[in-house]
Amino acid sequence: MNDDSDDTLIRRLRGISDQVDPPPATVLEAARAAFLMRRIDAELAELVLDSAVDAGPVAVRAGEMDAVRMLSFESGTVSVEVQVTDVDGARSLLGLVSGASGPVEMETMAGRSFVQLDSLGRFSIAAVPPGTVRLHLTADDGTPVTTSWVSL
Amino acid sequence: MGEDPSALLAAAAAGDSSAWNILVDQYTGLLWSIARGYRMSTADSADAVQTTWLRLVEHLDRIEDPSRLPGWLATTVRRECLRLLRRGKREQPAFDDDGLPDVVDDAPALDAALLDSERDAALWRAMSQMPERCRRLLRVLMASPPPAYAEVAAALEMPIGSIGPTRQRCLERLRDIAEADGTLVDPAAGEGGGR
Repeated sequence: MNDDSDDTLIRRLRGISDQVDPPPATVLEAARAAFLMRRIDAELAELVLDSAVDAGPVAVRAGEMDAVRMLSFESGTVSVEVQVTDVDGARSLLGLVSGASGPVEMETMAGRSFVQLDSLGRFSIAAVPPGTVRLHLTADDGTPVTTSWVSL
Repeated sequence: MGEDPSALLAAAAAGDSSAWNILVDQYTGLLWSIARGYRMSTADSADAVQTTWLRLVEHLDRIEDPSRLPGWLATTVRRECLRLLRRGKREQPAFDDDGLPDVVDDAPALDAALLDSERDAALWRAMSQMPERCRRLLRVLMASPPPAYAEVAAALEMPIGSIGPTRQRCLERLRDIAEADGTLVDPAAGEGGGR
């Protein structure tokens, strides 16, 4: 089989992957549907720190009971710190918000749910299934703020 | 290479969902191949690809250089893969020299049974025995539609000039592994290159 040119072999490999490992139809459908999730009215609170990638490969000591991941989102006026704990395959979120008040809405691919901020700007959400999540908040000046999507 | 990403991006930012759908059709194969190159599960690969598209939706108005959209997408999905892999690292104690979990994934071997041609099956099985870096490179080069080298460079975080030589070396290795595959019984294919 060494008489194949490299280009021919790559084409052959592409044919193989098209056959046995193409992007699933559900992935293509979800990607098309992502466009409908656009919020042009809301200010984006960008993911500025994710301990899973920003803190290097040894963020969690071996032997600890649960992996803890820290996420920070920031817009011009609002900041959201979220601590993600993995408990038996589900994620539990503890959040600290500044610059916003009122309910926090968590959006997943499956739907939406609300939690209230306490007087110190904290919130907690238990048993979040693995998948993609974002939060919606209202800034103190009334601007709707949406965090970046993040996969948990 | 398909339609100009800058024009599609501008149209999508203006609300044109058909432009968005063309972008999805054009680049989902690339994004999928990058995730699969990390040997991530179907579910994790789907999450990484979906998060990438959602992130593009968030940034439709603020991609700094629209002509480099494919590279932006490739970089974004690579980061999402790293997030997911490191998140799961506690269940996957073995790491290879990239500092990434060396996930044991026997899906290629199972999928290979679906292929009619024995040589195709041997090639696909050989992919799972390739060193990490070669496997990721070849898997991205196998994407449909074929990616430009700039996209491949972004996907693998490697200099564009080293893709050609690395590709050549990796394909040679792939041929060697496939030829050594004991299940490859076609004498013409098996003996012809036996050196």
